[in-house]
Amino acid sequence: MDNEFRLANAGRIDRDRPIPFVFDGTEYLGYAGDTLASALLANGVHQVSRGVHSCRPRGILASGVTEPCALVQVEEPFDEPTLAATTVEVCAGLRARGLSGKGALTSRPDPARYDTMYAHADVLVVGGGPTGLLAALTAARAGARVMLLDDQSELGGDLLAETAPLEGRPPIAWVSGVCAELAGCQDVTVLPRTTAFGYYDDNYVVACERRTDHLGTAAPERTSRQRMWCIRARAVVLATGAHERSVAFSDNDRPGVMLAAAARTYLHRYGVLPGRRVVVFTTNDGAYQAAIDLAGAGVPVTALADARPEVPDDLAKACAAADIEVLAGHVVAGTRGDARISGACLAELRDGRLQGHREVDCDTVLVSGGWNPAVHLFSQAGGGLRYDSQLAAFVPARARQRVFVGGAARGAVTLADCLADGARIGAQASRTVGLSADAAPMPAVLQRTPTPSTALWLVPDPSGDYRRHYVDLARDATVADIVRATDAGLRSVEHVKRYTTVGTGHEQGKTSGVLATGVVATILGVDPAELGTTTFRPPYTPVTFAALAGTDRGALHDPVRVTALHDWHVAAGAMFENVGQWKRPWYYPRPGEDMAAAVWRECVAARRSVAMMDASTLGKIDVQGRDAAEFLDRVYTTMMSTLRVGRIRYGLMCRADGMVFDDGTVIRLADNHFLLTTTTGNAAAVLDWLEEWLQTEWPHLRVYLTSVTEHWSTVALVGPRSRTVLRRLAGDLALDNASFPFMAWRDATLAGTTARVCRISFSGELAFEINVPWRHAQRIWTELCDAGADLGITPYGTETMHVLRAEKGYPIIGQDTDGTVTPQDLGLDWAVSKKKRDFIGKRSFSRPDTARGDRKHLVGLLPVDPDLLLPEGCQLVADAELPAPPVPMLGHVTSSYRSPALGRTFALALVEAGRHRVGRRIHAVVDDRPVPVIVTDPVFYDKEGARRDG
Amino acid sequence: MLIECPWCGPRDETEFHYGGQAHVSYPDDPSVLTDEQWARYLFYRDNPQGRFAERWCHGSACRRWFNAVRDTRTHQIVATYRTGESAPVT
Amino acid sequence: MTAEAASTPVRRRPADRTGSPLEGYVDRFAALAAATRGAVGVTELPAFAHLALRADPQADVGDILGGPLPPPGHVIGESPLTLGLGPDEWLVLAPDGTQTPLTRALHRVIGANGAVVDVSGQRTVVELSGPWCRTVLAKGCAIDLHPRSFTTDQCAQTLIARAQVILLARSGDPSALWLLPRASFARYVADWLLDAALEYQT
Repeated sequence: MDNEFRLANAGRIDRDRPIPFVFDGTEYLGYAGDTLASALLANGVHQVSRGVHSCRPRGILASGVTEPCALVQVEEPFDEPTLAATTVEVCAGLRARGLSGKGALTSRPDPARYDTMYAHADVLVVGGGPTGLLAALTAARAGARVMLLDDQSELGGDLLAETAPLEGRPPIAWVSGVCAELAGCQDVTVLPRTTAFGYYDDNYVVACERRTDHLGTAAPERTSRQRMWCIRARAVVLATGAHERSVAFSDNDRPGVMLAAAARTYLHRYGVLPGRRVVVFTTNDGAYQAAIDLAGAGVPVTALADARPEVPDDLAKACAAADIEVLAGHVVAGTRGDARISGACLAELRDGRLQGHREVDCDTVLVSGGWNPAVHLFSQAGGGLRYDSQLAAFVPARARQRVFVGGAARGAVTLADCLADGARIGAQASRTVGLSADAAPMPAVLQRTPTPSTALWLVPDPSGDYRRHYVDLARDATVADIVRATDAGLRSVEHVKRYTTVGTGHEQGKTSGVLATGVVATILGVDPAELGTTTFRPPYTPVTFAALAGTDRGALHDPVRVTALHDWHVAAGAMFENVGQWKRPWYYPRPGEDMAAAVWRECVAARRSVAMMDASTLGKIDVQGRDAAEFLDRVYTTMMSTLRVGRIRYGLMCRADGMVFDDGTVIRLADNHFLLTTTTGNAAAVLDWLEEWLQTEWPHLRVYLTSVTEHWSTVALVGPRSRTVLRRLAGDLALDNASFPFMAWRDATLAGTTARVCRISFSGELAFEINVPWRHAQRIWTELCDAGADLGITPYGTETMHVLRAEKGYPIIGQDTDGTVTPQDLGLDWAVSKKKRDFIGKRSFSRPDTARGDRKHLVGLLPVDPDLLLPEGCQLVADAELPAPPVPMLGHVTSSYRSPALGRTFALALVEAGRHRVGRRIHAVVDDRPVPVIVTDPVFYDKEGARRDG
Repeated sequence: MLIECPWCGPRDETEFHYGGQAHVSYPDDPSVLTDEQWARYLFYRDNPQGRFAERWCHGSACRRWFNAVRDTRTHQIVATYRTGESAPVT
Repeated sequence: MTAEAASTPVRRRPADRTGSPLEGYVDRFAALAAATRGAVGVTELPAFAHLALRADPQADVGDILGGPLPPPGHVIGESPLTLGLGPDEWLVLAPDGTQTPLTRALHRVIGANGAVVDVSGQRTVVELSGPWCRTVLAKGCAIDLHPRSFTTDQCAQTLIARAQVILLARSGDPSALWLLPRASFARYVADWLLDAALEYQT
């Protein structure tokens, strides 16, 4: 029968909105407001899964995020593994199955959207129970920007399952009143279904809001399914409540064993009876109300075993009135049954021994081993804990951030104390952010002084067999496992955790962590205060990777940087290469061409006629100031102060350790004005590096650095006929070698556009780099295309650029170098000034290690087989026969291409004492096989440099 | 972390990057140093448990380098101050 | 610079976007405004003259910029509009075409104690408008965008999602913000904004 355990009227569910769902292949009916767990219980389904190792049947122990064993795999509407049934809201189209331990990731793409929201609050309140509500109300009334987060679908916390009147009304009426007032406040944000899961430095709290999960298949497409809230709060109020814990007794894992407060929640919030015949086992006052309420709902409570030798009078009387037998000084020693409990064994606990065993029939054992304040966030925030022996629990002690903890989260037991805490800390938090605040008035509530709990962690077993005294139901870890750990000499709870896996499951020990501490303390005969807890780390609850990624997925995963000419490249059919965040044209295949053919054609065009490349991604830094030349002398290995206005010089930068950091050109625009280029990938790093020296070491130098990388778009016009093409656009600008020599620059008007033209060559050919502001790039590019059309002007990409430069032996910093290479290793001694007194890196060139003769040098390699293209990165060894490992390595291939100019393959490599091996044969290991290569000079093409003048 | 940039005010740590130990000055004349002394400048840095003066750069905003005293045990930034100023007594 | 140029309001010019970084986004921005019924508006503004100014904060540029140089995070003027980016760094936005006269005028005042660099191509100006625009931005911006915290004539350099931007609250339209991404990041920022605004479509 549908919903046979559902009460006719009780609960917060909406009986007008029935929702069918499927669990383990069977269709059931739930209602809006149900969790999967409450709907299953309503339908009499107690066994949800099996133990991950033991395969024993497992039911529903808890009612919220603490659930250790009722795990499900949600299959529809979103595939999601390893969720607790107590945290899944019943929604349209829900289909789930029970899971023993581990779920499966789906291979289906997740169609949902996820996003992030940054928020700022004066007072952030975590937890919307009585404490949090009153704290938020107090802060809101003080005029604070308030955020109130609660992980449940509606606010109220334990008040959702409370029946004692508040201000003479049902508690939920009071909750509604507070919510209505908060909703009317400007600058108050209330977020239900939002779990604060991380508390980081400087009051930075991260929370996950489940925005549309509860709508199932009806979720709107454009709304993010989950949202990550990144909240910076000036003050934080933690009203995170407390988690009830179990006791380790024999067979305490059977379906039908449930935490007492969870039973009360199922009863009052969901209108569900957890069973038909109940035994209660408690160490504290808390479970009594569950027993009384269930009895009131018509469920026979066979016995209430209270481990304390004396029972509070008022509770004893209330039980008597409800026809509940209270057994003081008693425990539940064990359970029996198959898939579900059919009975429990009660016994008297005296002097640490059990006596007077008694069997009772029941289908449910409600247990309360005490309450652990939910100190997770407080502890993540750096707060210290102390053990409170009255509560038998760890409570917040010293805070390190501006955080206030109240209510059950600091160990308050009664509703009156929780409400008082909320008002007090709401006012305190408001005052610390400079607001004058009065505590919101306390609603009238029944006062009661609680009796202390007893610290009972473990029910002793006369047989000494503790293999079925479960501590962690998620990990199937028992007291016997802990005994094995302590027998092995472990004392620290951190070590016991790792040895036994207690507390490492999906709920990270919310029901088992402190229990494990208590069990270890019992075994070792020490006070739990000496042992402490394991470390509470984020996330408080499991968070999906999709939620963490937010919008950083697909096309928005990482910024794609494009040049002003990107659309032209796309239209021309370019294949693109990622260079850092930039998309650069790699090569431009014509129909039917593969990469090798396209690159070959592009290379030939550049060497024989004219070709052009978008070089806009080069970093560009404008340098001005009285001391600009002096500054550049200090940061480049090359002398820059002697550069004449109008001319350009190649420059190398090293780190102080003498290793090459970047290279580029320096053009002198005026006495105190330069423009530098950097490599594409290093632009930001170079600017940072220069600023660091300027600001921290040489603040007295008057130098100003400005990035102009995007301001200037750069077109490299390359090849023997580049001058012809340029002349067609350049008007009366003299382009002959005498008027416009190599490594000079001129400002010019090209086809009506102001441009800066530099005679720089990265290919060895006659070449010009034409710089125009971003908005003119498309025009100048198409003008050049048109002007060179009759000469077969050919756009080329980065691959051709690499071939052309490698044929000339020009290294690429970051490809042919790796941060362990000096200018001398590269054979660039000519770019290292001998005259300058000092520059960054100079001193390191005379360090013994840098001055070694057998360092790796950049050399050329010619495979003996001229068709063999060596893989970049392949290792180089001396001999054709590989000796037994370890094989001495000589170096590796850094660049490798097919050269149209050479008619064969070639490579650059870093080789130990490479310059001394020129002409010798070494071996490259290709597919585990040494193949012969000849070491050469790195310059393969036009050694005389005759071609750069055209 | 929230880091107080001396120019832009408090900002998320994602806007900053780290520059290592502060107040390690580039030697006046590296050429007169022994290899040992130069190696000390290049490679040796303090690694205290507790307060540590560090360089940070507000790279995503004003691009200014500045110094911060950070407690390496708690990540708490005790003070930030401008380059050229000496570490505050904390 | 000429008096005429200085007095040209920066907004009232023909919308020439030829070659601008977001030239191809005009239709997408228009569709967004229509679909959100004005709740979120994104527009690339026509080109400005952008000058990076490095100078002594006391430099006497009042006649040129309409007031003393603002401290970091503050903005003065309308046209030209001057943003304080750092202790000795400003960005001056002025009508396109005034780069040369404005550079000369500033150079005359600051002399060798600073720098003026034409960076007109470095960034583009995107205007965000509509009642939800700050919320959209808050999806990727960690600084506090509450109108009380980030208000008229304030600017900030920060990150939007994974791109560095200059952010600016103008006088006149209190809800509108200007966003200045670098030109190479402009499409990423535009794509991100269009995506973030999706849920406000009706």
